[in-house]
Amino acid sequence: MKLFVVTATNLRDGAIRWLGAGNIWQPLLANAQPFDAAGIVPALAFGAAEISAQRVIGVYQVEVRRAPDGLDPLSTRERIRAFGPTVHPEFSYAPATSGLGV
Amino acid sequence: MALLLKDGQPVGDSWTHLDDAAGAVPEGPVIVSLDRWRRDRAALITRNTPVGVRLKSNQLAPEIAADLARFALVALEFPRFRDGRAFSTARELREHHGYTGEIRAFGHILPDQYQFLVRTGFTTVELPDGAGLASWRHALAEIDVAYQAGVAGDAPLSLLRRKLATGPK
Amino acid sequence: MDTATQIRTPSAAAEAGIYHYDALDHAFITRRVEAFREQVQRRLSGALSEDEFKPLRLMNGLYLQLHAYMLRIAIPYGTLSSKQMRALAHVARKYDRGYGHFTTRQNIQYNWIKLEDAPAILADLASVGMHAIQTSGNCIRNVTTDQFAGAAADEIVDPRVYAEILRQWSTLHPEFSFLPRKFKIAITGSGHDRAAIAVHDIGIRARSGPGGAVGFEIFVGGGLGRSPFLGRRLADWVPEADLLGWLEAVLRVYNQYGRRDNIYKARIKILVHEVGIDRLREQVEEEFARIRGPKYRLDPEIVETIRRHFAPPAFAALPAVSPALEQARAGDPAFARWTRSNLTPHRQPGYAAVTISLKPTGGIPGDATSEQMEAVAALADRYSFGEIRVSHEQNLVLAHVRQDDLPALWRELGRHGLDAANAGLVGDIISCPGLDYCALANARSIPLAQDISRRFADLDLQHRIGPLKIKMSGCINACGHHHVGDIGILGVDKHGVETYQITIGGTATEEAALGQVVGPAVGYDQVADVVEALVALYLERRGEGESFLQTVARIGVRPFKEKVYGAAA
Repeated sequence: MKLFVVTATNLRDGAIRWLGAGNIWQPLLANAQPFDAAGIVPALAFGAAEISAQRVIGVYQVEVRRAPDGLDPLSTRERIRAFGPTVHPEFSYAPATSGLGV
Repeated sequence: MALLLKDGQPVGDSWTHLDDAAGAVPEGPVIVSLDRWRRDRAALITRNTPVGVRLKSNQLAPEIAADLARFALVALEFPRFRDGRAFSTARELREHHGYTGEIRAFGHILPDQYQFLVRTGFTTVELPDGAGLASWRHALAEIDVAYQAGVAGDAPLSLLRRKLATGPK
Repeated sequence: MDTATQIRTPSAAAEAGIYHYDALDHAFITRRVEAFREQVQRRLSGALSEDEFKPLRLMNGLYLQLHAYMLRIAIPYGTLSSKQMRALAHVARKYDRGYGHFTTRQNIQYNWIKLEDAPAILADLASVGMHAIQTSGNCIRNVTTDQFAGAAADEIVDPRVYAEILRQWSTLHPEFSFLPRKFKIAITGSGHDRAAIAVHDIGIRARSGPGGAVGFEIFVGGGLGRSPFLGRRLADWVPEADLLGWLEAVLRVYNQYGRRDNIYKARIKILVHEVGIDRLREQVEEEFARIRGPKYRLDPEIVETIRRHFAPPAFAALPAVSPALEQARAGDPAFARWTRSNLTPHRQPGYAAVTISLKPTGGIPGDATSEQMEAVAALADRYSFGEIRVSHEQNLVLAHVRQDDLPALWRELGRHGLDAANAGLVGDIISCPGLDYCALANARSIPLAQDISRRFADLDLQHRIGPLKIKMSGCINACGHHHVGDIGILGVDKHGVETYQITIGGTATEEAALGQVVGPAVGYDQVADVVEALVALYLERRGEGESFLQTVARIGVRPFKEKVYGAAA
């Protein structure tokens, strides 16, 4: 079964957000709520409403898998968004996560 | 009806945009598309009422150069604010063809483009629906220096010329 | 430091070659900042939607990248004062994470900017005459030039005078701010092209004619990206007085006839390609004939006024050879090595232009910390008339350093990790930010640049290899100029996997050429091996004094291909 999360960018500071339980925006992917293909539809609708409310921008879905230490996006781009730039370990969002293996 | 702006102030609009589909030509000054002008040219001339032409952004000045004396108004469309061809068209009409009638901007235009419109020779702007008048007025007052030649007759590097004229280096 | 050095330390007021803003310029950029502050407030309050706000923020250099907003600040023709450099350091420290990234367009960008801080940043920068106008959008972008302008021994005409004229002419140009696509102009005034004019929308070579008259050779339609083209010659000689009229004509033809139906075909290079250079020349000449006249004539008085801003600094009369320099070279091989790679001959006897490499082994190309920026500002004040340049190779330059001062300068640079002796060598890698930061990127570029740089950490090896330019882009937009690298690396996304296409034989100099593909794209983990193999083959096969390009020209791509695909297999 394919698994997705909803991501966005916070309007005020441009920081990455993940939609968590109870429709709360979270700074870490670890706190994101995973959805299946059906569950993602209302989550994206909530995201669209949040754009209209001028809280976030650029809402979209990201495909993830369950890894031993948490959710892990499939694409390199989304892994970099989730865990931080690979060239600055000190800016990592989630030091405990596996990172990109570089 | 769209608000018409001239020199940063709302002004009355005596012109009617005529659809290509509309059959009869109403009373008073009308703005017709270039297609319609070409189709109904003779009838529009004999009407003896001011006529204006509106150009899409890909219809450039040479297309109307021969008939320019017949138009009291030329309306230039901005289909999207990013499409800046009309800036060149307006300037060509003024500088190469000596056009002195009203040049009007309509379509998708941002307040930040107002200065550019004025400096390339536009007279009036039909504000997009819902546009805030305040930001349009503000845009015109915001920057009063220009670094290059505009239609108003200022010369290249006009800011530098001002400096030369006023003394301090 | 000896007493003599201290006594003649130039003050900041002696900054050479900086165009100083006056009250009118300051009023202009201050009002721009206030306008933007109001726009940001309207955005944060919800009065403006993102669709409405995006073009406004882009006009002020504010992009949205992977992790945050990114702010790009214009450094006109790559020249700034020590005071401006300190302001850049201040912005990095106060509003970012303590560093900035110098770009291939001689600008600086900050990667971790908050929207709500952007107006304050622009206000801080406006106080030192800096701004972000036209660092984005489909307008005429920052005009770039030779980083050794006004200093290089081989210079014929000082291009900064005309770069400044073009900056003023293009600032908020009423007709050309909504072009089909962005428009980049580069100008050089030297026989040796360090400004890469062949790969710009318009490339200008300033020349000297009979009686010392200045004129311009103009190239049009160069550019990299998805469809790389080298510029074609549009005019052999445009007299100084006609420069702006000519450019108005080119831009007007482009604004009216450039394609707007497809973003990938909208640059002027495609117009040149589709209508042909001869037809385009006819159109431009026709337009120029119509607009020719006093209105667009560049007045010699204006040129002279601007030229005075770029008068040579107060050089001392010195012998051509500095005994102090020669002695230091003889006594310290590491210093001697640095002087071989990081100095450029100066027109003034006893001086040299110094390249400060922002490419330490394993470092991020073009990045500098606040501390480093401040150190460079202080060194510029002490040794180079308070003036700093940014090169399109993403390095910094102190253009006017006394040869006697070089040993002391080098030691100071070493204290701040700025003494890498690799300018123009294999470690001096040009790289875009890539997928680590950029929303457009398909693949990472910085960590590969770091990896390659570590493979060639041995500076003696780098010097043995000699001049060799590696240029890397994380996507087809080619911000890292990969098409014109001796070795070019382009990141592509193959079904979600980072993959890299390697080219060889490109150059952006006066003999401009586009690189040729070596073979099938390779994976992230293979890139450094491939580069090593290419360099190894060059070392095996090069003739006496033969450059990488010359070797590629002589033996062809095939031997390189065999070497790589043998090595990578």
